[in-house]
Amino acid sequence: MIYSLSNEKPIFQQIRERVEDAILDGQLQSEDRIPSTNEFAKEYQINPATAGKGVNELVEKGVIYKKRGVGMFVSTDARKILIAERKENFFAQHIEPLKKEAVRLGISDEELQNMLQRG
Amino acid sequence: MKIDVRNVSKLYKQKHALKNVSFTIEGPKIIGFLGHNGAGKTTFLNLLAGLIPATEGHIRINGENVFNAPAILRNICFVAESGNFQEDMTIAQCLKANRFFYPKWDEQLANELLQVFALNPKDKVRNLSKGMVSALGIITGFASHAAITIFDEPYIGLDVAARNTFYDLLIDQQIEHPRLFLLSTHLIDEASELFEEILILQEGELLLQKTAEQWDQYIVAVKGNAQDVERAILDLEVIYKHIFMHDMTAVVYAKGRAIEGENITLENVSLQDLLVYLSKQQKERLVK
Amino acid sequence: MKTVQGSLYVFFQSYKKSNIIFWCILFAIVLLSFFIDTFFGQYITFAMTISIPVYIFYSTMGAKILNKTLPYFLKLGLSRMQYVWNVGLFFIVWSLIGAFIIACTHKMISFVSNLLDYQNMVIIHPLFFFSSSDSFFLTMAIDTVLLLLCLISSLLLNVVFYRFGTLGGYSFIGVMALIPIMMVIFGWYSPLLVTLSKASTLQIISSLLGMIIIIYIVISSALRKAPAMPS
Repeated sequence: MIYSLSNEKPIFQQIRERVEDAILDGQLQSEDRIPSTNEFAKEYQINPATAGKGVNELVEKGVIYKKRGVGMFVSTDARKILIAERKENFFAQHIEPLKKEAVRLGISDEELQNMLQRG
Repeated sequence: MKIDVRNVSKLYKQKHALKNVSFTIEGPKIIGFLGHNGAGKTTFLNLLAGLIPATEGHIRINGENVFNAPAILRNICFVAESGNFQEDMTIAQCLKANRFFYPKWDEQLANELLQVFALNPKDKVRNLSKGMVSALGIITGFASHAAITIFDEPYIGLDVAARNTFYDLLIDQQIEHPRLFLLSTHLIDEASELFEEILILQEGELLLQKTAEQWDQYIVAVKGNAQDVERAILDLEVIYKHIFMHDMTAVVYAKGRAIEGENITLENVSLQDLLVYLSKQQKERLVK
Repeated sequence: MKTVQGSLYVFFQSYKKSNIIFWCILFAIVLLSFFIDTFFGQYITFAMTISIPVYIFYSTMGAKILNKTLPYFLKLGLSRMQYVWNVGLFFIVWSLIGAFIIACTHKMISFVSNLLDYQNMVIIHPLFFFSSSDSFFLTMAIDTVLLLLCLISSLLLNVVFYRFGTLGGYSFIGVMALIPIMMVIFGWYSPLLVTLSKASTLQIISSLLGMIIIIYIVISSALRKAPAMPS
């Protein structure tokens, strides 16, 4: 097992994120085959139904698609869809708390911008 | 397979081992059957397998009462904690005997598993170690292909590697021959991700029955400043509360409701932790 | 049908070893007796009994069978009635086998005694109380019934202990022990002996069979709702 799943987030979410990360990092290209639900279940020793839930969310988003009897594949638009979604999350998850903490520490907008450039 | 439990009570010497338990489960599914010692797990599993009569209520499988009903019981394989085999028989004879009683017995799987668990078919049950008897029970459970397979503490005396083999097998079998697996175990952390549904018994009563999906929103830990936490959980049922340096951790039944409040964080509670909290709660109640 | 086969298989495998050991010891004693008789036969008369040790052994066999096998078979999905049937069937087969071996042994002993010309070798068998015949089939018939009675009555004792615990079990033994005492007190034994001696072998066998059936019915009804663990 290369990755082990942690306890903090629901398992199906971790599986979904793992596939998404692999697509964003370019490890998975469009039309690449991804493991089946059962393969995920066996790999991480989790209930097949739970694994299925993570995979199904990806199918619903259009990131992957099923070919009957063959398996599941990364769709052509996968990266585009994911980047759009992540950008939205990025603001909520990182920018908003960043701003909040900056206010708490008395960092001015200008100072913050300088910091961002440095980082 | 549908198991329907209605108002089941079991009295042992005037003491309630089970109190008015009702629920329905439907398979194929892997179900975790949890609770601490003396919560009534084994008593319930014995009732389900038709081994003991209920004092009140009934257990029906696909609409038929299980007690003394061989046609139904043929679909159940119950691997108990101990005493599953005749001491004077060899492993090979035990497995041969199973062929007569489980209509869907998978001889090939049984032979494969003998090698996986490194058992010698010529050994007598009397001379086996605890772990080996557990392994024989596991082989019986899986090779029976019974629509309802019950494992009550199936891996006493087995090491981590062998337990891992068990989990792998469970997933494999669930994929290839889906059935209703009921697994009762103390090693909750190891097994919790295998469950699709969870039933927890406490003091002979059914405390909760949730799917793994519902679980995350059902019980949560609220953390933060004591006052903030108190305000957030005002009208919720509390399982456990702990204060350290003005910080409070409160484990509550959120029951799917969103908990809101200033400066608090919400965390998931693992099954293992919940059982610890529950036993603390029970002890407190006893002290009072 | 398959479960009947399976049950018999399990019973045979479970009781095979203790039975083999028992018969080996018994035959060893018979052989030893022949041996001693060869050297000291002119001084003493030998009375041999094969059947009585077998009755005792069968009684011990039946006395534990419930604790040993009922939980096991219930786990395998048999109903309690099926279990009682299968035990009955196993008892019949096992009694037939026992009786057959006893009868063969008798024949063998008399054959060897005749061959080696031992006049002072006497075989004791319950049959000789009622009849002077020593036919193979009669011996076998009466032994089968007696062995069956041994098995079934010890099973009854096991049932009492299983259902009512140690206290109930010993109380039952106490009540049973009263019967012979009462017989002596009220002098019932002499008419009983008279009836027995007058009765034909067939009458004896059929009344024993009747007893077996009654005990069997009692056992079946006592186990109808029995749990898989003794109380």
